[in-house]
Amino acid sequence: MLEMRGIKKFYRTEQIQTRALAGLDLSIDEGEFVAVTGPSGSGKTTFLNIAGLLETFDEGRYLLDGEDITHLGDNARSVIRNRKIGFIFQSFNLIPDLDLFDNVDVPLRYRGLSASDRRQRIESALERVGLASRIRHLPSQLSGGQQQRVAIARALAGEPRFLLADEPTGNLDSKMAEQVMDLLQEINQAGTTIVMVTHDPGLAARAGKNIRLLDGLIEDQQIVIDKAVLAS
Amino acid sequence: MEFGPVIRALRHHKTGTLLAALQIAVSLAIIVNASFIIKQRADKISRPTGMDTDNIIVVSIRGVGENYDTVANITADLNLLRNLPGVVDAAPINQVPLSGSGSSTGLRTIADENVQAISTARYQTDEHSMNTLGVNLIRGRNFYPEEIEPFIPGKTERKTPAVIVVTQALADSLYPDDDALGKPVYWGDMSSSTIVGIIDHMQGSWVSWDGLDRNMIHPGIQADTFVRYIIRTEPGERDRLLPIIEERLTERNRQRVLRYIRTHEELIQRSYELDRVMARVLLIIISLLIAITALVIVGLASYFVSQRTRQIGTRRALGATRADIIRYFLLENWLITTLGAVAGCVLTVLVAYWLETSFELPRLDWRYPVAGVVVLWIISQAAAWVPAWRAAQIPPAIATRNV
Amino acid sequence: MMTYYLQNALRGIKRSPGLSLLVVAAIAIGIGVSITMLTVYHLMSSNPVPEKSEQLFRVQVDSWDPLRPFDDDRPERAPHQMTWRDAMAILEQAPAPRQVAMFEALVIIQPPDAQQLPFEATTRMANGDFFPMFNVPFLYGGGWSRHEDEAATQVAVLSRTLNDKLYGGDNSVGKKLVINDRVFTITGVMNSWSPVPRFYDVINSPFQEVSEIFLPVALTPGMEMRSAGSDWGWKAERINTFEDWLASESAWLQFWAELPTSADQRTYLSFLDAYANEQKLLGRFQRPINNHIHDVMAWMAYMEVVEEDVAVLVGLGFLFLLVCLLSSVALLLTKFNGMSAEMSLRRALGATRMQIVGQNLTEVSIIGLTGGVFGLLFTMLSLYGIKSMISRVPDALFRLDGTMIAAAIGLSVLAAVLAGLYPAIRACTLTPAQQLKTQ
Repeated sequence: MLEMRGIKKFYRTEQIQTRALAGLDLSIDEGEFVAVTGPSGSGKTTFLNIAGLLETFDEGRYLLDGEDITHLGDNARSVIRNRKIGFIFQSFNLIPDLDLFDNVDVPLRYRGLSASDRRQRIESALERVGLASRIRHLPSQLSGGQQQRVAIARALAGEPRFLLADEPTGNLDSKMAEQVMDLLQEINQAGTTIVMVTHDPGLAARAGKNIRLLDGLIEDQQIVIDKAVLAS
Repeated sequence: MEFGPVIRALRHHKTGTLLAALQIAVSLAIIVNASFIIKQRADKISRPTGMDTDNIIVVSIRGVGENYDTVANITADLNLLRNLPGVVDAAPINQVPLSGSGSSTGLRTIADENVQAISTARYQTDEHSMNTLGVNLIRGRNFYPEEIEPFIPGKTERKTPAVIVVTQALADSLYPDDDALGKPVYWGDMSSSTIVGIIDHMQGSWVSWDGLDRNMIHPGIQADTFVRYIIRTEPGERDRLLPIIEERLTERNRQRVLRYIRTHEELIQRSYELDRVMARVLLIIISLLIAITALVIVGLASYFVSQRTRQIGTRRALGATRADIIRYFLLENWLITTLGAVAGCVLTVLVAYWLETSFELPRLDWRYPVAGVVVLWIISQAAAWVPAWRAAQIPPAIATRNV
Repeated sequence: MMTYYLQNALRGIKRSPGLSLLVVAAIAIGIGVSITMLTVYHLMSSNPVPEKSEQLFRVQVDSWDPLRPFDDDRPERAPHQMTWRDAMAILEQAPAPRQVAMFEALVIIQPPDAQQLPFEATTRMANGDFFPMFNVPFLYGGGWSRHEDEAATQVAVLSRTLNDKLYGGDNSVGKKLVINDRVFTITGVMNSWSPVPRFYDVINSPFQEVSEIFLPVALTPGMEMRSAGSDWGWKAERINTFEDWLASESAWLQFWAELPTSADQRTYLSFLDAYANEQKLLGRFQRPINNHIHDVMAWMAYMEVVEEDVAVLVGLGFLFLLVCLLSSVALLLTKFNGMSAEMSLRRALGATRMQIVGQNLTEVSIIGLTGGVFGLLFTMLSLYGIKSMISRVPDALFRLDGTMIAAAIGLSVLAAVLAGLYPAIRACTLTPAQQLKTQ
């Protein structure tokens, strides 16, 4: 599904060059739920930005869904983001003056779908996150957890192969965080690959696989034994 | 407050700073050059006329029919006008000074047609004219009544006047080194007249002509079917008398057309109409420009304040007073304006050069750009005051608030 | 996609109404000021008879002072006008399909209603070729023929305004009218005709209405008509009678010829030169041969018909527009800066750069279009304002025509797009990730 080989990324300012990723090797299979952890400055965000095609990298090779995206241009990357990837951000990043319907509509618009197709997708995505009744509300009329569920609906509406979540519960209280995690697990079980960046070990433990980054390299990789399996 | 940090902060907003400064620069170029043109036009309009223009009424009449007796009518009209209570004096005249319509001729001091003649406007009128116009005869004498002869086209012979009165400006052009009084002048046909009087100052017919001050008055009445009268009233009586004069002249003989009766002031205003329009249009342009510049400064500064809310809060938390915050923004604004003003001075000179070479406008007076910069400083500081004051109201607690 | 751009654009405008309004105002005022000036300039310099302007020629012959040129500053110039004797001789002899000699005068008209007082009217003394030559439109009847010119018949053509005043707009062809105590027969009534500039006579003000009445120039001696326009003289001549005046060297007639082909023009010029040589034998025309013909636009340029002030105002007007543009760029930059978070998010969600630029340019175009519309209103208002400050100018000089409307709208959208292009492009070069974290 996702394969990175020797990915390096540097940030340059006038005087200094900082290394954010130092030759990352990684592969994630279809249907996995992977949590990426690590202390701040370990390269988590850089990894996420590169994996989500939000940023380019300096060295290495990146295959997504069998397609080599290493040398793709900006437009092609936009198209892949639009069709294959769904984003969930820590601060939700909803557009404040659009209602829920229009917020979920944003990525669909850039795909050039028909109006009826879009409507159907938006309604079913909001249905899935349990907010169908609030379709004409503005984000500010919702709680944080609900806002994050809208963001998830926005990611789901495009039926991505691959969901990237950046500290999805970082701005939420524990009860709401729990709901959001339940929802992500449910989505994963329905077949969507999820990569989640977090510094919360408790959340990481709910993922199927944990990757720990340190100074731009993978320090540790472990398969979390499914609780259900453990229980049986 | 130091310049250093403000300048360093501005260097991070190069584009915005540059745009604002450029806008100030072009504004300065327009404001300065436009004001300079306005000043020239105002000067042109307010030149002393040498005449009592506020109390003069001008009438133009045209006789109708083969039997219209021009001389008799003129005599009767003048008699009527001079005896009207409130009228100081009245005179027939071939052309009206400052009306835009006139007659000019060339005079020489030597009877040789190879010598370049001095051009002058000429007014043919009688001995009442100087009193009617209110001009100041500083030397010599007025015409004697017997020197005034009517000329009836087709009936009488046109004669060169024996005597003329000239303005000081014409006297100086004719006889730059001598006293012109008593000296001869030669007309185009080399017949001559003697200068018997000098008027200190009087403007002629065409306001944009550089010979406006060169004028000659010669005795005679052009007894044509067209005739013009100038009438001087007692101060303050002009507007009351105008309709009365109109009625009396119409009544006196209905077999003619009263072409117009107007105040001299109105004729003069028409002559300067385009100059006045130019000045007004430029004034409007300047006002709009100042309004736009001020609004844009308010708009941009407000935006910067809103963008730096947190930063301002932090400064306040770290001990900056409200005055410090205001001073910061005003200083920033002053720096941008000054940067623009420096560039603007260069641009101003370029525009002034364009105007000077393409349109023969006079050279720009250096005090105008200086005044322009001061005006822009004041306007931009005043405009920046509003957002600066608003910035100062940001509470220090913003710094600790999580967005 | 366009509707989506439009929706977003309107939302973007609503989000920062103050800034948007300021940009609209800046563009509107900039366009208003510059287009106002440009309209007046455009009309002053426009071609008043485009269909014929290259066939109509203003004729000059140099009959001036042997000692001095007509214009001391430009000695190559021939006199602007012609003497009566030259105009009449050339009118009679010159090889041209049509010619006209004319001048402006004032007449007294006795209205048909005898109760009304006689009044003065501006008249143009011309020959009958005037009307077909200058494509004068007629409401009723037409001009007079050459036969009537030759016989000096008392015929008249009225302007529409005068016909309205005298006959309430009725067809007055064939009616009798008393002008300067003589009875004239009306042959035609002109339709509204107000060429800008009034090209056939730019000497007596290029921006004035057409005369109220037209009479045959051949009646000049009989009626003793004096020119009410400019006349120039160089020779000291004793003028006691009207015959003296007609025989004098005073130049007070304007002369035009219609010369369709370049062969016609050459023939005509050689005729003028031959005429001048003939006159030399009679002791006139003592200057070197200096005869000219100028077609309409060349004559407008020669006479510097466009007011200098207007050219200055056009220059300053466009500098003013530049100020407004710079303001708009600064304001739009600010506006798009405020929207960078949203643009980054859209990029993250799959919008291409072009889609973001398209989005921003849509918004900018709406602002520009709105600015243009208000700019046009402002232009109309200021044209009206300037017109009301000036007396005696034809309305046509302040009319907003299609070209200028298109120019205003085009210019404002172009201005807005130019002003918005840099901010729009800059806004979308941010990498999609840049803005997402910094909340």
